[in-house]
Amino acid sequence: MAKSVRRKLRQIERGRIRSAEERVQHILDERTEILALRRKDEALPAQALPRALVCGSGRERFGIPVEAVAEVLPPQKYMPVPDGPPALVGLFGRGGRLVSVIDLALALGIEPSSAEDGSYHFVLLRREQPQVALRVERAHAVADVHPLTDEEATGFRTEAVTGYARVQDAGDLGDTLSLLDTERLLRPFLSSSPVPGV
Amino acid sequence: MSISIANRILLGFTVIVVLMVGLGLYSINRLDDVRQTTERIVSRDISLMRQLEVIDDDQNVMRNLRQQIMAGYLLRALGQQVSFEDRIQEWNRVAAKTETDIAQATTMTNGFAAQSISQERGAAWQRVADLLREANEGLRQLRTASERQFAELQSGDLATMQRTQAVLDARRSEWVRTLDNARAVLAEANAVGQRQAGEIYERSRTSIIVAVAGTALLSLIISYLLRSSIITPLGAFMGFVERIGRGELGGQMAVTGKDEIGHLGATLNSMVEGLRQLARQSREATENLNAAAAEIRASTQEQAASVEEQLAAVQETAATVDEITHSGAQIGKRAQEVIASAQAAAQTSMAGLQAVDDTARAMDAIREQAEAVAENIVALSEKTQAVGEIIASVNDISERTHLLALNAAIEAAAAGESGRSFAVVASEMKTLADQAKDATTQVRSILGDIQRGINSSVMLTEEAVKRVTAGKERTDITQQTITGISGQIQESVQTFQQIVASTNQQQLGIEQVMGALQNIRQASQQTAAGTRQLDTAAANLSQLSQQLLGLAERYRL
Repeated sequence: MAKSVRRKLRQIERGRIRSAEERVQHILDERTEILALRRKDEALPAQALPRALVCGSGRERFGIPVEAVAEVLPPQKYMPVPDGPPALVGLFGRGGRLVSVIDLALALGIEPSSAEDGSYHFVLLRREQPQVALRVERAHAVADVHPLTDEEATGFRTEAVTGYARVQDAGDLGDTLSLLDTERLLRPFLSSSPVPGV
Repeated sequence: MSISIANRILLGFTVIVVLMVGLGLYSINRLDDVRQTTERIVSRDISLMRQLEVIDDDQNVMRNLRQQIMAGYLLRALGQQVSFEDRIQEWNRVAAKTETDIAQATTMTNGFAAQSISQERGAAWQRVADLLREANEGLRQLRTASERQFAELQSGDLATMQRTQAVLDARRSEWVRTLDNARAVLAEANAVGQRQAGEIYERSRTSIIVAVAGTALLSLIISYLLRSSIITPLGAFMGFVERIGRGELGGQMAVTGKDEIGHLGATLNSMVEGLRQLARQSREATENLNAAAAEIRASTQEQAASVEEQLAAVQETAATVDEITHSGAQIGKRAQEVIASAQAAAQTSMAGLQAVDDTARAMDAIREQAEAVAENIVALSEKTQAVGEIIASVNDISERTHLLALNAAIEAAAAGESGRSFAVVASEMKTLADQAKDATTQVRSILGDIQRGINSSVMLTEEAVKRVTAGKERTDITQQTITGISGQIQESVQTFQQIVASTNQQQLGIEQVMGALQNIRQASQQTAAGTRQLDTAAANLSQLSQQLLGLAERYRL
């Protein structure tokens, strides 16, 4: 009996090694295909499609224009701010300057994001004075998006949402996402906080 | 009426004695009354009479003195020297005394009139008083006339004196008559008093006779009442006692109360109650005796039957004991055979004990092997955890790569057209990071399966160790059991040897039992004879109890 068990264990081990080799082979094959397809993409007129950083907060996905984003920061600690608006969840220092942390879900007034073990991503916006980082559950990708509505459509849930779009080359990100205008999103917080840097 | 009879008699006689004493006192009182009345009448009459006599004497003394004065005067007139002035003074003194006596008599008479015994006598006394007043008046006139005569004597007027003498004589005779009248009236009053005393005596006698008659009548009535108050309840008791004597204990009870008769009634009642209880108890006891006699008779008959059965049983027992003697001999033989086979069994059990010892050692070896397997599996589990830590670090690296790819894409977008090919590289980097993350997820799930398998293997190994331990314990128990069996076989060999010995003794005992059975048979025959006599005696007892029942029926409750 012990002999048969040992033989089975050995077979499983061999099978796993083989599958890992196959996986590497598979990945390499895929990459080859994609690289082969790239020239065709370049031939297409690309300037018509805006690029956006796709973020997830709760069940919803949002697109932040990639021009407005300076950097995506890994999970880190921040200090809570007393007596601030509920969406202003705290501050952290970066390069000798204070960065205000605003939770995207709270700022949009939707169900607050609840990432397990606090592993949020922070999207540092490309702006000076004050520097602002949006706390999102996860920054998924930078992708080309197809807007679904007219440019100046109104009547959305908040004025920060400028429209809806669909991600091109939809893999697992094939959902519809809300395009955000960061200045409109930050306007209520900036006007209500006269203290510079907050 | 709740007064006791002694007190009743005492009260009756006391009433009679009180009546007698009252009657005697009343009679003495009446006699005293009569005596006092008579005494008073006599004493008053005599005292007044004496007073009248005194007055009469005074008057006589006065007349003598006057006549002496007259004689003195006449002697002087004859020329002799005679002194009569002292006589005149004497006369005056006697006249004053007479007046005083009359006043005293008048006072006495008035007092008698005020306290007279009867109206008639009061009137007589009043008349005497009037006469005395008249006499007093007459005396005063006499005195006036006499003083005038003495004055005339002094003056020597003889003619006038003669006339005055005549007047004086007339007055005097009149006065004497008045006194005589008074005396007569006094006598009349005396007669009246005598008559009244007689009347009082008559009245007293009559009333005493009436009182004596009343007392006698009352005494008779009291005696009759006493008699009836004693005789009536006694008659009732006589009837009651006669009824009890006839045996009627039911019916009504005797009268009770606080007097002696009542106490006698209470005592009689308690006596009747005692008699009644006694009769009831004796009746019950007699009935019980009757029933018991019947039971005795029935049981003696049963005893007779059982004695017959006993005889038969003794016969059967004798036959059985004979068979027991034969089977005892066989038991001895069989016990010898059993001893031999038990010794063989003891040897076999020693061999079994050796085999069980071998089994216990093999079990210990198995347990040690299983524990080694468990330790190996635990070491494998620790290595699996190390693999898990490595996978966590790979996952962290893939996450950082993901962020790096994102930032590279952002920087490429910021660089505009020149960063376009860099954006492709960033996209590839991101794809690689995602694939690495997927691979770590798969490895983590496989590791979880391995961990669960290891856990179940550890548990199974522990279970195997426990079962081996239990097997060892059972083997120990088996060893103890076989040891016990061996000891018991030894004991049974000894026991069978004892059985053989005691079977021999049993044979001797059975012969004694045969002798005893013979004795029992004789005793049962004697018992049968005694039981017949008992039956006869029980029949006699039953008859006697029937007669007693008849006697007890005489008392009606």
